Amino acid sequence: MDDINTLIEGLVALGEDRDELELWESIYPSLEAEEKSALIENLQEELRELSEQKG
Amino acid sequence: MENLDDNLVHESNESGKNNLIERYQEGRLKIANMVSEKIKKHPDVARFLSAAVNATAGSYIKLSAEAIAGKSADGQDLTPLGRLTDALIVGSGLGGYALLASGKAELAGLSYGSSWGLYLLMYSADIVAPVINKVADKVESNNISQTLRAISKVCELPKKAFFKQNG
Repeated sequence: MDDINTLIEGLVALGEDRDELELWESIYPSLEAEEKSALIENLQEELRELSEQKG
Repeated sequence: MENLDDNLVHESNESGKNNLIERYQEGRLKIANMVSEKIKKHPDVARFLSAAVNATAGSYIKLSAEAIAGKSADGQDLTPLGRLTDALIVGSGLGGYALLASGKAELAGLSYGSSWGLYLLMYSADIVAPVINKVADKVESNNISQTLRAISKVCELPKKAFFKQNG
């Protein structure tokens, strides 16, 4: 599983909103396991799609 | 003509990228709502919500609606962080009722207070930042408090982080 910090840095570099993602990063340790995996999946998918779009 | 074509391609790529980002931000807002929903389903909280005709409960409904619509009641557009903060205000406020129902009065007060702290922070940041930091530091032994301590980071952000600037 990708590290959340790495995912966030990658997304910010591709144009995502840093403030919103840093708040998620702060909250992450206190999320339940299913919420953590839903968040990571969301970030991984977005990073993949944005990277593909950038080509 | 070639430059015009290049510009059109660039604009179309930008708009595609923004749509994609917005779609994933919506997905994350659903995760934030999952957290709030779980708290709302606590039997004592559900009883409170269905029984009380209460201005505070009404404000949570308003804030949830704002988070979903991405726009405040007075028509200001919310940033992704603003929408997320609205959702968390609802979560920590209702968490206060859940803790109160479980007999944890002190933690309940802190959670509820933090919800109001966040609300004030978003709408009048300068007066409340030191208070929310103190509250967040005080409660260390609980999941909600851990979340609150983490979100005290928003204290450092200016108002423009919550509301889109027009023009």
